[in-house]
Amino acid sequence: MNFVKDDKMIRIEDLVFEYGWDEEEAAAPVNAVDHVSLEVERGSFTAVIGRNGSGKSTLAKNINALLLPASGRVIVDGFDTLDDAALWEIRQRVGMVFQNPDNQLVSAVVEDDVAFGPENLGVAPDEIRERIRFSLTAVDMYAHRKMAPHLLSGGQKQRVAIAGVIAMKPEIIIFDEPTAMLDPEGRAEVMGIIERLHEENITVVLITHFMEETLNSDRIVIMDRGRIAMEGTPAEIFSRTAEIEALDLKLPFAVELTARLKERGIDIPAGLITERALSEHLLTLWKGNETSDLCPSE
Amino acid sequence: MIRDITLGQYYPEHSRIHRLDPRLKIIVTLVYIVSLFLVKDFIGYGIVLVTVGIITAISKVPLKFMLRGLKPIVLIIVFTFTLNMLMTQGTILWEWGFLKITKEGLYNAVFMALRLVFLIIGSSLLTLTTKPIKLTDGIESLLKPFKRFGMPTHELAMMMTIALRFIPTLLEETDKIMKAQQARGADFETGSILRRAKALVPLLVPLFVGAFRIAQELAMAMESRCYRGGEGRTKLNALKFRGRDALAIVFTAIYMAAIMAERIFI
Amino acid sequence: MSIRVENLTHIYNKGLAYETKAVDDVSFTVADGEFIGIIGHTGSGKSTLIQHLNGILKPESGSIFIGDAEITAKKIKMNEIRKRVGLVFQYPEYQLFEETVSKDIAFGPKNLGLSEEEIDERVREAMQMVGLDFATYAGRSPFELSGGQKRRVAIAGVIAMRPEVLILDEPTAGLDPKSHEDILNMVKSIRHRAGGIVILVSHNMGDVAEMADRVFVMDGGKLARVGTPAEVFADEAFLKRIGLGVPPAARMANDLAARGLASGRVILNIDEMTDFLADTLSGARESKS
Repeated sequence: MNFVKDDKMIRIEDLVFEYGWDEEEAAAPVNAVDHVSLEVERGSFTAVIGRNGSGKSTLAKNINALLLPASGRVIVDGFDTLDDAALWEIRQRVGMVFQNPDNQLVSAVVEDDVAFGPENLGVAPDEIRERIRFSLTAVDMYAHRKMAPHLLSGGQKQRVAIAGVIAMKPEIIIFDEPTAMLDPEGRAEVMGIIERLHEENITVVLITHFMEETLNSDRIVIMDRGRIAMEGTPAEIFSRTAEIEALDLKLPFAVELTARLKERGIDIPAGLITERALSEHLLTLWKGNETSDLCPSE
Repeated sequence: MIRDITLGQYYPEHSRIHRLDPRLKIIVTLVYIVSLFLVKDFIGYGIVLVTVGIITAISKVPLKFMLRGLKPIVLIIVFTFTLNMLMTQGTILWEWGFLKITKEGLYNAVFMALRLVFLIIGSSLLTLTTKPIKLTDGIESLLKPFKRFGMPTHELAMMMTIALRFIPTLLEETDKIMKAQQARGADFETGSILRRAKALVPLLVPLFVGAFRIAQELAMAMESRCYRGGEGRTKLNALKFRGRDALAIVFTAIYMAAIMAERIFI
Repeated sequence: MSIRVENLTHIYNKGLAYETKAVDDVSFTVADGEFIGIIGHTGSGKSTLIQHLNGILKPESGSIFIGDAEITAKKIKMNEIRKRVGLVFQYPEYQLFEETVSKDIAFGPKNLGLSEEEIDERVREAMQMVGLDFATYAGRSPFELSGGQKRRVAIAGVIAMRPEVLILDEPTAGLDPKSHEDILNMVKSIRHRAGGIVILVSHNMGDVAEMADRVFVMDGGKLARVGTPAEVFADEAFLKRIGLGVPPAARMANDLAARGLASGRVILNIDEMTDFLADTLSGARESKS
């Protein structure tokens, strides 16, 4: 096994993955991932967006060696995914949470499911028990540890799935549209956990269709037809509104509102992409106006 | 709702029987089944009845719940009973045309019916007091010696675990697809057998496609959680023999001795 | 065509220890041509409620009238209900089963016992309504299509039955933003062309606010609120308490109001928000000059 100390958590070099693999990608022509290079910093939060079939999922599955490159390389924490001997090192480091909460839980009891990963890693039973307590507490599901997954809500199931990944002590967690099948409450729960994990220095890669979920990321990567179409901080990305719309994506609410207000002649500085930030600015504008109303002589 | 069907007839309770090592429970159940075939008269059944009664009491499974398990086989019991009653030669008690009941027949019928009833009650005690997942663990552990001869014991156990997990999911899926097709006017309930079989196509095709999708997604999720077969794998709930298990062994031995003694000496 | 639901109650697992009232004494009416949005968190009883409207589920008690027909009556023919009420389930693409798109869409009409010509006409019409070109897609296998296209095929399969009441259970769940938009536009155009009642169950508050004439809020099996989007989405605190929310524009307007900048008007979408802010902020500037 070759291991090269690497300062980057994930290093993707000119990755090509040939035909589509999962259902969504099946309709996509030729290269699902087409000469993609990307580096992900330790402890960073990267959001990946793009229309269905743009290669997001395929890219993600290449990171933990579920899929292997046709050409190019993927290096995770110094391990090359093409190196057979490094496979388990990589999968232990890269946890994955998938879209459908039903189809990723293995066991008929919550705590047994969380134990599944550590069991595969050969962790001692006492240590597993400790990890179950720790990871179920982290997602606020410890009280449900004896329950059957099919009796939980979608959001709860998804939290169990995250706990199952946390219990493997990964460096990176890739979330593949984790909130797509959840109701607003479940979505908020899962997003809260993702942000907490990021704060605790886990490297997060989040694939999503909800623009609002990308706003707190360090960087957004937009995929289109297997290539990286745009890349940058949320503020940079969402300042290029026309390009985003051309990629069939939606603007976050605050960004769209800013654009409309600018058309109406209201001056708003760039980079206010969250509702919170925009509200702050609008309030200052308004208060400024009010004071000037009160003192017309100025 | 379809998803609330109780699986494997497990009765959740915290009794001493529930807490026994599943391997031991499986072995005891097998021993018990053998013992039923050693019983030769009603005194023997007396011993069985007392024993089963005591175990049931300790297990805290309500009698009503247990007898419910007999319902599906009532027909078989009645059939065995009738057959034995009418087919045995001996002293005639009652006769009508070619039908005749003999003393020996009646005795045989009662005897066989009782054997069947005890068989069912005994083995349902196993499933009622053991979580399906523990049962799987137990079977895996008991089959371990056969691994040497190439039996994929871990794989079999994993298959059972996954099956147990996904039965409710598949039932739900079936329910959903059935409703969706009914909303498009599908009729699963009327018509000739041929028509009904044909009507199942709109249900079965999506169900199979769905099952494959589930399998594919689950396999991927398992792989990404480092699943690589039984090699080098630890278990959260390693089965351990405890004091109460030893007690159960002694209890079983005494029971077996009583059955044998009764058979030989009485 | 109108819908009248009276004291509808549905109980799961009746008589068992864990029996639950999934729908609890619900009554409402829907007028002809109305667009109803139903919101509620998972398990609030929305799905159970709508499955009663086309007779898939039978209530414990209460009655449902579609037009003048009581569909909860004992002797009613199921096909009579299904002709009137079309129900598109969640992730409807998972019910596709035929070899070709056109055959799959024809399944419903065929079950209604229509003639070949009639079926063919309806399939063409339905495909056009969901935006699938007949020449391109009719002969293709539905399993080869993309996720968004599969969903359109499935919706066409219900539309082809020409229901007067069309119910859609989260028709945009799991789609990307473009497909989401396409499906919504499709629903709007169907409503425009076919008329009748549309009932949309959704977790997307913005969509409901934009499309519905009235909003039903389900919580714990009960119809907790009924009103226009403006009325229902005015109470953000209540909706949050039951695991829901309000459209982004309303959320921001409420936030501004809480911090002193009250709009004094209903704000549900970005247009209303833009107007309000433009008025307030530039209006003030004009008075300044």
